[in-house]
Amino acid sequence: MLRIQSLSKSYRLGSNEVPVLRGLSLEVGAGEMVVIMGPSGSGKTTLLNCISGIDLPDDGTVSLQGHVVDYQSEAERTRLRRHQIGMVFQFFNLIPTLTVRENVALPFLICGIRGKQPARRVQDLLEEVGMGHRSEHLPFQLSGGEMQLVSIARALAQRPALLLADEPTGNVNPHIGRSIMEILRSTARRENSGLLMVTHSPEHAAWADRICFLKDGRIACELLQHGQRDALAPIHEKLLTLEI
Amino acid sequence: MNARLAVHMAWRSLRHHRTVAIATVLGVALGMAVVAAILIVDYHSTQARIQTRLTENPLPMIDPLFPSESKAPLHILHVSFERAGQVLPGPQGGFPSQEGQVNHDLSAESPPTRRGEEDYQAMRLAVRLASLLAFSVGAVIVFYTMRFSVTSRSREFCLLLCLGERRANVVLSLLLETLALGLLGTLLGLLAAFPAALALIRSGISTTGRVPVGGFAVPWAELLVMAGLSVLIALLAVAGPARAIVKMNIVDVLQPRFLTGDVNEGSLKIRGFSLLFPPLLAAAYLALRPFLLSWLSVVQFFLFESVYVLVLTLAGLWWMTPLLRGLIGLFETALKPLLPLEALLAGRRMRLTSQKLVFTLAGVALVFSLLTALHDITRSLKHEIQRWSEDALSPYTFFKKNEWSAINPDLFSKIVAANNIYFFRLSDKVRGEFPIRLIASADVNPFLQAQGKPPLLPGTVMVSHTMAARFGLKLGDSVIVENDRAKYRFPVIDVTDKVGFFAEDDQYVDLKSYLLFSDGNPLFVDNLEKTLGRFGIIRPKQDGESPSRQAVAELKPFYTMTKEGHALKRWQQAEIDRDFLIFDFILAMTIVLAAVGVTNSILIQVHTRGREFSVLRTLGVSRLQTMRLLLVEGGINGLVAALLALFLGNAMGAISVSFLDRFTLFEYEFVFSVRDSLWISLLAVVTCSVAALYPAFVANRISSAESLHYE
Repeated sequence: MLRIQSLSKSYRLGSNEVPVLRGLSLEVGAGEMVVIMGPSGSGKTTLLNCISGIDLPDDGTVSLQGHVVDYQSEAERTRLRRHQIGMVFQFFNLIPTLTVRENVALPFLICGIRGKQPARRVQDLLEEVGMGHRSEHLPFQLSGGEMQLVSIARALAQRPALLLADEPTGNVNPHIGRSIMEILRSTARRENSGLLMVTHSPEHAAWADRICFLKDGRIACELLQHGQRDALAPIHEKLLTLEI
Repeated sequence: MNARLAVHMAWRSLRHHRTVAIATVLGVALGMAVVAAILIVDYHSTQARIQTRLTENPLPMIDPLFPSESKAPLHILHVSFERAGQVLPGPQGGFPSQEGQVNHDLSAESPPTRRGEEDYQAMRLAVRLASLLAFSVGAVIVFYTMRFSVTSRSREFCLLLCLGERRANVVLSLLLETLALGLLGTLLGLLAAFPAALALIRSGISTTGRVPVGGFAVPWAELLVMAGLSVLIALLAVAGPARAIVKMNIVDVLQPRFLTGDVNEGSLKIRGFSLLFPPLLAAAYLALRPFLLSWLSVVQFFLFESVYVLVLTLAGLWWMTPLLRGLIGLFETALKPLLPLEALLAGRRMRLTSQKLVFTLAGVALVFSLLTALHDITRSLKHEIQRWSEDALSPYTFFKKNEWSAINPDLFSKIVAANNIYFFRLSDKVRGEFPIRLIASADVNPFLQAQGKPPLLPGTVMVSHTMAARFGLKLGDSVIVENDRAKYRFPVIDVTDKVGFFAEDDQYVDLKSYLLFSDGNPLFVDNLEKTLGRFGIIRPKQDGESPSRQAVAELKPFYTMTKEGHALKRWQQAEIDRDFLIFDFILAMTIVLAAVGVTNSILIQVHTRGREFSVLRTLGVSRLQTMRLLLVEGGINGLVAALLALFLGNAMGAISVSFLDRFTLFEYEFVFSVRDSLWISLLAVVTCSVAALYPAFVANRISSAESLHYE
């Protein structure tokens, strides 16, 4: 579903060129959950930014559902974000002036889709993430975990082929973190969306089908986890081996 | 205190927020430039001697009550007025009037204020107040920018405090930053003021409506005071932010930064009681108004009322956040079918942060209120000119008798009859406090009869509207003329401009003031009556027609045409347009300032909302939609400001027109114009939308990847 081949990205800091991604290749299947783990500065967020088109890769190709993304086209990047990719952020990034319902309905509004069908979809998603009773609240009236649940509902609104989650549990307590993982995993699977998640937490990484360890801008190694939440030892072992 | 670090911090901040700093300097500079240019033009206008506009030679002074041969001094002349039924009229329409201050038995020995000076002083006052408004808008921009500067740098300040920096030093850096902006803006404003003032003066523009001539006079002392004030205002802008720094809670500020957008519980509160304040204040004022009318002079009352309306509106704006929210909500709903996404995002943000919009909206609303009020005044003045011109100018052609020719009465009558015109012979006009002119009763009475008016007989008088306004004269009152031999009473049979005016070289107010007597009065028979026929005016017998060229040609052996009424009417209207050019200059500059203010405020929001824009981009919002979003915000700003300006501007306009009606001798009438109001509202919306263009471009250049980075 998602195929990344030889993706490279570097940043210029003064007169120095700092490579972040160095020919990275990766695949994510439909309904599959892949976790990226790696040290700070290894390029995890840059990878997600490049896939979603909010940052431009220097080299390499990204194809989604068999179609190679043309990153040079602003219109195509916008289309990609509207219809094929959903994003979940560490800091939730809900629009503070919109209610929970309006935040979830925002992707439809952006595409100019109105009517009963999107409204029903929004209600279903809110019920699914357990936020149906808070639909008319503003973000500041919610807890961090609740905001993240709304953010997940928003990301899934357009039934994206790929869900990108950047440390979605990084700013909530462990108990809420587990609930978020549960909802993220189950809803993505039900929607048959590929899920690519960045995390520093082995406990949350253990929910994945596959874990990719990112080091020096490349996938240093992969671990097939098959969603075994209790199998944490192999993850810790890999982290130690790779000095992550 | 580490002054070096403070300077470094200020410099870094100015460099980092370059666009905002430029907008602030521009705000100060434009405000200062307008005030300084107006001060120079005003000083020049009042210093320079008056140049009259007509080129004819002034008429000789004639003593109306003594034979022309007599050289006796005017030691017993006394002219006064007697009210009909001895009932003294009070102020009309609830507004103070000059009439109330005038002695009801006014005589030539106790004349009122110099004629015409009130109009010029009123205009000077209005020009100065208008230029101060531009200055105030500049001040608002500086105040707003400093608030932003502190908010956006609060984390930086708190980190410095954590590292051991003193709060006083942080305040000092802000002080230096503002001082730099204030000094630069003031200097640029002063430099720009000189060429601007010179250009205005060379274009013949003045603050008094008179055409100044001569050199270039500069009020250095006033300019220095204003420059000092400009820098001081800039420094005062630090007061609020400095207090914020002193109270800043380091722990709160250094919390991880979420996308909160300044929305909190306070944004949802509706302050019920605050809604009562504006109506209560308005009611209290209405109760006090009659007492204020009697306590205060006309000028004091006008100033008080203007300031009261202004303060009431701005206070209402501040208190009545729900009203503001309601207005924004109204426009949001109206826009929703057209631009649902933009209307929702822009409208909701503006509603929830409406208290933060007050500064911007107040500035823009003030500017367009002034524009509205000024339009009300000019429209009223033009209406007055138009009305007077229709009566006194348009139907007439003005002639002066040829010195060398003797009139053949038969031939003359035939010419008048053949051309179907009225010919009115006029005498010289006596200058002074009581301008007197004679008209041949044989000429004027057929016209008066045709108009259904009583004839002008030797024992009666007709009075022009301006003359009547000067002394509060009405139909049925009497003009009493007294000399050492007798006392003569002349009942006023008509107050009209339809007859008796002659286009001469004099001040506008004087031209329109006259007492019109007929020939045959014993008082004038030996002097003024001897000049009867020196001037002549013709008008067609059919209303709406122009005197034919043939009539003018046939009268040429006896009379030479000096002016044509309709041409004079056009000239008068052009003069009014020219007199008000100074306001156009101020308003144009103030609108630019308002645009700079809106640009600055939206730009500040774009900087603080970078993360929000980036999130929207990741959700699929296109660059075009981002631009439209900000343009809609600008447009809603403009719409709300236009609505407020419509109310405030017309209220100010009505007050000003009433004031002018009482304070000057012209008959002003407030007329609400739907067309003008719509045009001004459109201008407000376009200005605010155009002002949002640059911030929209900046928003489009924001890097989503950078903005979404955690810290």
